[in-house]
Amino acid sequence: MISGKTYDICIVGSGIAGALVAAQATRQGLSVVLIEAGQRFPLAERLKLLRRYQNLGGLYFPWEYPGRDNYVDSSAESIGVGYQLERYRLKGVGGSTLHWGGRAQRLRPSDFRTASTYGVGIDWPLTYAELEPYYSAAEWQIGVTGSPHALQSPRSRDYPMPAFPFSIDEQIWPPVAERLGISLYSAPFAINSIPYNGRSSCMAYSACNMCPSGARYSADTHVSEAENTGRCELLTLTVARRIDVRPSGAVAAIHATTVDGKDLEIRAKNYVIAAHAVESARLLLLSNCGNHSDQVGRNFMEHPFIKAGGYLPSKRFYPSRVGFERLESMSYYDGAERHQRGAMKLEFEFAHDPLRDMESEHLWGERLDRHDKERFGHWLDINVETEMQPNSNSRISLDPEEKDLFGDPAPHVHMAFNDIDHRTQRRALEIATDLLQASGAQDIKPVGPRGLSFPAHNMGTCRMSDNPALGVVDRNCRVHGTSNLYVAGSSVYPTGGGCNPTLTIAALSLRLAEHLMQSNV
Amino acid sequence: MSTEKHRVSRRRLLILAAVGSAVGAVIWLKPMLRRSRSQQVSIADLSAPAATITRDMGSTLDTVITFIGALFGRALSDTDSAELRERLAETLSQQPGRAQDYSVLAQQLDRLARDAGAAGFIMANTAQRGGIVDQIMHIDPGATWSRILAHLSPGRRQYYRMRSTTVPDLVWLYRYSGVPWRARGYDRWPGIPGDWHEYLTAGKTNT
Repeated sequence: MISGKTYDICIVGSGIAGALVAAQATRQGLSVVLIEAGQRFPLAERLKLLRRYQNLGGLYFPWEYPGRDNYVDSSAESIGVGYQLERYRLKGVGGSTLHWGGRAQRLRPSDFRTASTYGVGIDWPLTYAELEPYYSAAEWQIGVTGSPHALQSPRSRDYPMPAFPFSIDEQIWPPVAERLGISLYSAPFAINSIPYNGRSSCMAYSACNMCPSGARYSADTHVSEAENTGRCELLTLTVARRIDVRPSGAVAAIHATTVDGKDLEIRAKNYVIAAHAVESARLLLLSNCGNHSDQVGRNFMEHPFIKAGGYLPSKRFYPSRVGFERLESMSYYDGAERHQRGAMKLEFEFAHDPLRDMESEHLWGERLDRHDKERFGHWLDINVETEMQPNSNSRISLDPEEKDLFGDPAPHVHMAFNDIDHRTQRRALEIATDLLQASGAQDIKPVGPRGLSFPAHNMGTCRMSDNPALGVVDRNCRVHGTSNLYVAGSSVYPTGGGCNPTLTIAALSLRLAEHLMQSNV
Repeated sequence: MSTEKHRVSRRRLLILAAVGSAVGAVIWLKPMLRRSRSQQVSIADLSAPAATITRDMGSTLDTVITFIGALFGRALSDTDSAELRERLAETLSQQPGRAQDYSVLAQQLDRLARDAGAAGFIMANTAQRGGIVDQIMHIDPGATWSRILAHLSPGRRQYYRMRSTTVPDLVWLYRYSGVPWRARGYDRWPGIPGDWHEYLTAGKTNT
């Protein structure tokens, strides 16, 4: 036990969900302990880390822990491609916001009602209207740039910062879109277009996933804010291993172990598991907690990206002047087609590096050099972020063989698609191909196997439902059958829509923080 | 005649058995080969001192840099070579285990160069280097057969690792260095700050 202390709130995970709950609670005078499996990655060291990533590469952001963060993935057996978890999560203070791209979108009202509106998926127990005030608060807390557009979700407050205007490269799309009747807008980003909350405006490092300037929000800023109140204790390199839940449904403690082997028993009035869709589910499974209806770990979802690209010799683009493109379209998001397929959001990119074609096109030596000279700055990509349906066969479970550093079962990832997902992905590829053709691009083709990749949006596994038979947590994110255990983060999503999940995580976390403060009074 | 027939059929039988076993092995191994486990890299000590490059490692890095130039079909300038050397040295300081990978690659390159009639890879002419790159790149690291062969001997395992790990790592290092960007006319690339307002104007290729 930590000095015999009982905190108001014990939070597992210091990503955006845990960090916002900690910041809100400490502002209101509550005491918090934050358990984080990873270490700190201070802003001052980001440039050094960027250089290391550029040299060593291989992984998206190589901050996993060898021998500790083991996992097994059998997704290739069901969907034909593997799910590389080490690329799709980040263990460190700030969690996955340390390597996110910064897209900060609200879900659309229809996303909360897919079953009743379209007859697919499942309805959330919350409505968009209930979550809207928290979306607005989240945008102002993390700092979001944006501008109103025709298909945006209803909002009660302006964006705190002006949107980034379309780049010179992006000017190619508006005339094409107008011809096709598609509307475009500048995507909302948690990247400062002006100095905001003590962080600089974008300095165009073209390396958003590590943003050395700090212009792109990362949740370690809210962890620091909580610590600065003197009411938040952060335990880094400490792994939560068991939740001690009593037969009454009250959690008595969380048992954790530091990486150097020190066992801790941590007590609090309330407990929040905010450890990412994979580890939150694993911790509940390891603790035999909340799994009365065999829902923990199920309905593991992503936003399968369907990507196609094409060569446009008549135009010259300037890839990587700034590392992010802001043009998006929601024209294929809703509508009658959604009875048959999932939501889709389109993103338009110019950053394709022809040197990446080396393996897929068997190019090397002088042929590769010619290819680079010909194609660099003449390539368009369209990325369709698609909705994946909740599917009980898509799941996180405990692997019967693989263990972590402490001898606990490692997570087993098994992603599965259903017929609607396949239909959605086929339609997404058609749409991307049609748009590229309309732009005049040549040599149009899917990027990667069937154009499929994943954007690291882990969702599901601890579904929110008012019905304990269908979910793990209730509308307040409290685990069914417990009195003081909550789950925060995208793991509670009943459906994932087609929009990036982080802003919704933030909104739900602010709502949870408010609930916890009320219950702590 | 009948003995000959008998021999042929026995040979066919043996060939059939061998093919059958191979197919069986592939079918049996395939799920295991497709099921992936964590691929992790170590967290480097951020304050690790720069590696001291020994004379042997210096010549290994010369060979590796020459290989990178041949792989991308580019004549590297002194600035390019110096930057790649600096980045390779940083890599070694953070992951010393890669020294072995680079040595294996350099040895293989020199061996293939000698087979092609040159004294070593660095001394090989452009055509010889191109031929050697072809030999290495024609191995498909994703093919099931390549992965099975890699288990047959330590030499094959090394060769497989060279193609499946060392070469992709070098490709990554090159792509994120300044070398390809300079060749494209840029004087700034990811990791060097600029001004996002520049993104609104057309024209200069050197940004």
